Amino acid sequence: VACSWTMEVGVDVEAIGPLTDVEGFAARFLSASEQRALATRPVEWNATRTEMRAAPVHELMHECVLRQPRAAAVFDGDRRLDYGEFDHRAQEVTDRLTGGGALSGEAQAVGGDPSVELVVQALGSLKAGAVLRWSAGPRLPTRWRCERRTRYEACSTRPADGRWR
Amino acid sequence: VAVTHAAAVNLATALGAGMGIGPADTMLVLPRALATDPVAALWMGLISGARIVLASAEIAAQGSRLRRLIVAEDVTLLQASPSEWQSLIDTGLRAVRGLRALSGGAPFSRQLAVQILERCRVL
Repeated sequence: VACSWTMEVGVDVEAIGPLTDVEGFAARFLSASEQRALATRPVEWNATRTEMRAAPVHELMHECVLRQPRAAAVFDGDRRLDYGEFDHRAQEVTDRLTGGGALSGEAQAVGGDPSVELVVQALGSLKAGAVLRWSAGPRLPTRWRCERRTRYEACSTRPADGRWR
Repeated sequence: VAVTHAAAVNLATALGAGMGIGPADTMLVLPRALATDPVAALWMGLISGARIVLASAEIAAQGSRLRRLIVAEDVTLLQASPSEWQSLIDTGLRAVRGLRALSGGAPFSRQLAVQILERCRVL
């Protein structure tokens, strides 16, 4: 059973757990018409295929940039960027990477503590067509330095002391 | 783990629609979710026009401090692993009006679900 539901306050939370009793689940959580549909047209009921946008995530996000450029996008307790600023900053990263010879499809290592800068680097790398090598934490795996196909220094956010450990 | 753009868009779109995420939402992102699941932590919100608030590790470790941030920034969605939810509740995360909870990736106890639903509107 394609089972996707949102649990509101007041719903019996015994339903949490592996779904082994399909009929019991249906009897408790589905309307009469839904139960009929499940019993008589299970293929249609389970048809969860939907049309997905054939665009990368940064292009979908760009639609928000155009639609709501002044809306707040990212805040890290220190810095705030709206969607327009966020896109502008990310584009600077993109331009720097491509100006430095980065090719579409190359891996870009991005890492660092959670910050606006980290997210800007991630978006900028994707806009450059990079494969994002993601390590959101205080360290980037040092073995990434040795991989010839991973650009490491170019778009690493730096910790407060300016040095990677 | 390599994730294609199509898979990322699939997850971000489906999960965002299921949670009803839109421009009116503010998602609080904890360091672990950002590190392990950037599709749900970042891109789900950003392709939906939501606002992303990044919590530092220090604040994320203390439920009472995190609650202050949730209230101050009008956070509407908090994603955390089951063990993180338990830790936040144990360290003082009290109820927040209008907050939705998202969790997964590990076994989830009925008792924890009850505790979360005492603090959040939707799980």
